[in-house]
Amino acid sequence: MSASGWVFMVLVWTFVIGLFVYCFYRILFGGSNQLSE
Amino acid sequence: MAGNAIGIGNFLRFPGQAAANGGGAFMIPYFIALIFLAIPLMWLEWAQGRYGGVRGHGTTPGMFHLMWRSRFSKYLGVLGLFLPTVILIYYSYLASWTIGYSIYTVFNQLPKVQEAGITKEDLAALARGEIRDKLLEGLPITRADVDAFLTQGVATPPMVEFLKAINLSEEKIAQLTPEERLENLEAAIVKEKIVKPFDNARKAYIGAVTPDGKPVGDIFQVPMFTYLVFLGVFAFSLFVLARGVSGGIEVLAKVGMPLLFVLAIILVIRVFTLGHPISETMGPLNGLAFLWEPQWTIERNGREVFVLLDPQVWLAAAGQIFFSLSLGMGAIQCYASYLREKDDVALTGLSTTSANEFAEVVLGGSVAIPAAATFFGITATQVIASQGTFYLGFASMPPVFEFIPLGQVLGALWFFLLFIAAITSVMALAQPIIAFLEDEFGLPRGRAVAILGALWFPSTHLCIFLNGALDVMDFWAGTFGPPLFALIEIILMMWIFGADRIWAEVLRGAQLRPWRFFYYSAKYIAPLILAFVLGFWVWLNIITPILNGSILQQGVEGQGTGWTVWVTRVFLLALFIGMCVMVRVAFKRRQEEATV
Repeated sequence: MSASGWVFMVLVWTFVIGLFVYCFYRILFGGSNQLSE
Repeated sequence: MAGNAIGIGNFLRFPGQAAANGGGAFMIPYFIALIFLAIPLMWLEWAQGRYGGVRGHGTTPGMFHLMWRSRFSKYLGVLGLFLPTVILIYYSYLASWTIGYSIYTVFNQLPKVQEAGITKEDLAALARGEIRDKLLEGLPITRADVDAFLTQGVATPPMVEFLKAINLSEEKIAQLTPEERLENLEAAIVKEKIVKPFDNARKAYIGAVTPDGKPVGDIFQVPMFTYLVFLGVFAFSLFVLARGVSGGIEVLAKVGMPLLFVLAIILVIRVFTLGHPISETMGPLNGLAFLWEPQWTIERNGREVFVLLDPQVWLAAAGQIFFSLSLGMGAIQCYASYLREKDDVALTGLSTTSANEFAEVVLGGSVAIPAAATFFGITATQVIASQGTFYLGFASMPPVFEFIPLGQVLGALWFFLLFIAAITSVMALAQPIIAFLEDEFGLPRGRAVAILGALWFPSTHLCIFLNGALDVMDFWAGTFGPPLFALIEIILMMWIFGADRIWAEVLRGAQLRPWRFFYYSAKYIAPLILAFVLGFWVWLNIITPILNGSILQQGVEGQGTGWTVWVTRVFLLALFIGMCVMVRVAFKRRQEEATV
């Protein structure tokens, strides 16, 4: 895979995984007004 | 809620759509649609659902009426009952295929490539450009056709016909470079000799062909096993639904979702430890490269087109986002209606999106495409994916599992993973109509589930027995309906109810404050993208077939114009009208109760 492919994949995976971890961290520990899902 | 959004769309439809639409070329509009369209729409649907829920309406007819006091608004909201119910009708049957295939794999009932005498060495030879005689057996081309094509670039009539099966026109064949000639010939051979027997097995599983491979016509001859598996899935679904949201659906999601992620991670690890079993130039990273190398142009009719100006890629990408996130179906509003007024819809919506995208781009993108690329190469993977949504998952994965150690176990896990993904979505799709019967008619849950079952069970028999019925339903409810309903929702919420009012709903109780950017995106950019996608879709699928006359042969849905298609269309129309009448009766009933 070329450098641009790696960069695109790493950026997108970081964004998606980061968002996933952030959201569930906020749900579990953030004191959010969110019902458990 | 993640159980609703995560479905077979993540593991089957996404890799199929991505591979069929140019891999890296698909991913660019896909992410633009995710940011500008999906995330704001997800928040709006959650906010609308909670807004309706706290005012006693768990489904979109009531929610639409609350937001737009017009006598017509509730009928627009009927789409939020109609679409999930129709999708439920055929999706439940698809869910039964996945568990049926899992059982088939455990008991070794699928075809075997190696029983046909084809080995890994034959595939390795093919990857080197050496086409062995046994791979040509039973094909319409001979060794002389192959030699003429590869050495002199001459496509004989049998070769042209053979390559047409992988969507290569005569003109395109004439333009191929020597390297492309070999790649495309290899891909056509893989499709015909390796993958097609598995697609025939799928057709035999649903009774579309006889056991010896002959088409059966308009009415499928469904094997007893297939039917019994459907009965089992249907009974299980009713049982879980009858236990309610917290007692049934949540329990299933709480067990199913972690299990799904664990199974998916096991499969991803296995795929990425495959190495290079066929050729040094074919491995899982080649599959990833195909998916992730950004491609800014895509070939259309022999011309290179800038990918962001190509409506077909946009259509595929936006359609995938809708299907995958269950947007524009009325299902999200129904779940959101159970929230309290101060519950955080911003965080809930974003977590649903992120869980789905994790399952889709990270896990779903790392199984089927890298596995197929490892064994068959990129060109063949593209060819396989372009044959249809289920080809990559149902027809290319079984031969892959046959060639790897513990393949039988992994194959059973793969189809079981698809089953978990599908069954949790079935629960979500059933919820709007059940909630409507509970909220608007005051029925107890058990009776509401029984009424749904009485509608659902016979309706699915159209898909089980009538050739083309499933595709017609999928066309209207799975492809056309969601973007249309989403456009209606956005206009209703951002332009009629009021952008500031609905955005205040999104922000109410939210610790996570969405950027103002998403407000403008929801108000201006999302409806423009939707109108563009929908307009092009209508042009491509309805106006063009009418203009060129193909509508008389193909029908709007591409399934012909036979009586089975008409029966399905009449059924869908009757169901929609029936739901409109039901909504009218429910609203009259409410009005009468209010005046008493």
